[in-house]
Amino acid sequence: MGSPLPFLIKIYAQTVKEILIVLRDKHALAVLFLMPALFVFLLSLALQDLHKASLAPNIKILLLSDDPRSQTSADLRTFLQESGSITLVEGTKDAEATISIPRSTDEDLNSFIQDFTTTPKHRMTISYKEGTSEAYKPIVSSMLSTFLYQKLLRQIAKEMDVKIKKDNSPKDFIEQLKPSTDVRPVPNPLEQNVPGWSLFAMFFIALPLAGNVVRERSEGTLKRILCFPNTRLSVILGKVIPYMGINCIQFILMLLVGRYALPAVSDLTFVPHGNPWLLAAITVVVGITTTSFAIAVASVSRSVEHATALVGAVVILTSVIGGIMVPVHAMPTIMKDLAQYSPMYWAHQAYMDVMIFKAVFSDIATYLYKLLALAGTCAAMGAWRFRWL
Amino acid sequence: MTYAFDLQNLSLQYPSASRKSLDNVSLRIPEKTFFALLGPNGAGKTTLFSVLCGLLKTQGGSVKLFEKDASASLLHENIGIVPQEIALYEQLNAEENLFFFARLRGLTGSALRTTVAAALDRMHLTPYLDRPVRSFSGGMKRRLNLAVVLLHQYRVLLLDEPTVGVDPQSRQLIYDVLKELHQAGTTIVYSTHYMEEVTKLCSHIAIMDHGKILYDRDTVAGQDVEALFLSLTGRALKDG
Repeated sequence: MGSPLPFLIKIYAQTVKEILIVLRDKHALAVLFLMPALFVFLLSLALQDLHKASLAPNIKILLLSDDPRSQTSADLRTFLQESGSITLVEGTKDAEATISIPRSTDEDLNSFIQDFTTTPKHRMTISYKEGTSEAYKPIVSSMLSTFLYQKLLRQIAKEMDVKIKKDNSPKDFIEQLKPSTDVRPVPNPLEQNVPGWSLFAMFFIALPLAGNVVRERSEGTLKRILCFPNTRLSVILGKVIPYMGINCIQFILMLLVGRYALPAVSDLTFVPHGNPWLLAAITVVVGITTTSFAIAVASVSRSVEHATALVGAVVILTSVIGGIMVPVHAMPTIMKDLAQYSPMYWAHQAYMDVMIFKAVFSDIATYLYKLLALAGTCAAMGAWRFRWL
Repeated sequence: MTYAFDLQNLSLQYPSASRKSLDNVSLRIPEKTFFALLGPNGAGKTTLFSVLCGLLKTQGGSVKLFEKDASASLLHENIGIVPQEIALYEQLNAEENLFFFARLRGLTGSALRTTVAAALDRMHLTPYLDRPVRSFSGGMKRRLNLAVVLLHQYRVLLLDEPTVGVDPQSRQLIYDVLKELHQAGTTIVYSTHYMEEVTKLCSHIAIMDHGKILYDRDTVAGQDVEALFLSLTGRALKDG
């Protein structure tokens, strides 16, 4: 067996060449590094309010009553305090919503119970501070409605002399089941976006890689390389290895953006947990998949434009289906089922399972096997269809 | 006489083509000659070059290199090619391009730097070594294209129209370098459409068309190559 040194020198030569080409391609740099970092930054900031509202709303409400002795006002105050989702504040400065109770409310409610056709003299109002999350508004409105129905129910029961337990309420008709162990907490926007947009960018590595292979073929450099003492395997490895390295750099960079840059300017936190070796293993498997995909694209593309369109279409479609652009937990059932077929979903779930839920290898093995099977299919297609000249 | 190449009955037809690109080609190229391989566009010259450097396999016939069956390793070690295209990386500078190709030859360290510097110097490109190739003129690109084969001492060089679009000064430099290589014992197989280059440089001539060798002589001196070429290949335009 000969020395591996000449082989390694050739791989090194191609690695240096590919990295220099990428570094001098401003468009490729923007797509591979700047675009995903911006996406993580902007989308995480954009979604942070929605996330807060959907998980644990803590809305600051100011309760204003024209009548300090109003029973309705006192009951509402108690109801809101017991809800767990509301913080009652005393000043307008902190209030995200203000509920105003007119002096006539107690009387209006009594009149309504006597005669359901009467209308209130004055209506209760809810006003929102400018910039309050849209997600909060239906929550406040719904709580106020629930309170009024409960109050009316009690008044009616009293009028009809129906016995009602003090703490009885319509809630008693609902049994709150404990969440099963399979149901996981919804990841925050950073936990969703950092691995998601990292993957989006990592799959976009196929753009420069496939484009460079097609360009080399049309410009004659591939032909020239093959006239050197080179095996075709070393030529392919010389392309795959540097781009896998770039994939690793992309992922690390995005982790750093998520870990340090965004928490510095927002309330969001991102602390990746789990085994770092598992994260490395996922990244390597993703790298094998993305580069195999690129070789498959290069094998069927007749021009750089053709390769660009193909990569763009496939990556964007699989990311939409796979829950990168819209989180899977927010998708309707049919889309959730469809997501299971996206390689982006497999990789995304593997990353999130390790980083957020501290998964072990056996938990993510299926995702990795699926990715490797896809890589094998792409590599086989590349070997079958690749045109060297 | 030793032959650099001894080609016997080579045949090759591309899958989608209606006729053969190489049709029973037999040709002997003596060692240390400056051999002109002429033909109109589509005659099969580039295909023959691809066969000679091991990129394409024929469907019939044999290729011998210095009397040995032409294996891939034998071809890679002995044959250098200057393709018709500017087969360089436009994003890289001149030195980086040569570093890349020199490393593919296995060169490292001081040998790498010395060899690349010598090739750049020989092609008068040292002052521009750090300029990206995309900023080069056509003549500079052609000179750099040729510099790649100066990174190794090949016994045979295949040059496919190496002076297309080159100004007279650069062309003269390319001629000088090729003459030097030839005098040092390198066999040169030269394809061109410029007939004056043939009379100026070449000692042997072969003309091919439609994948066949039509003419093969060991003398060029005193011939009107253009008239000979037109008489063999016809005056009809070769647009098909």
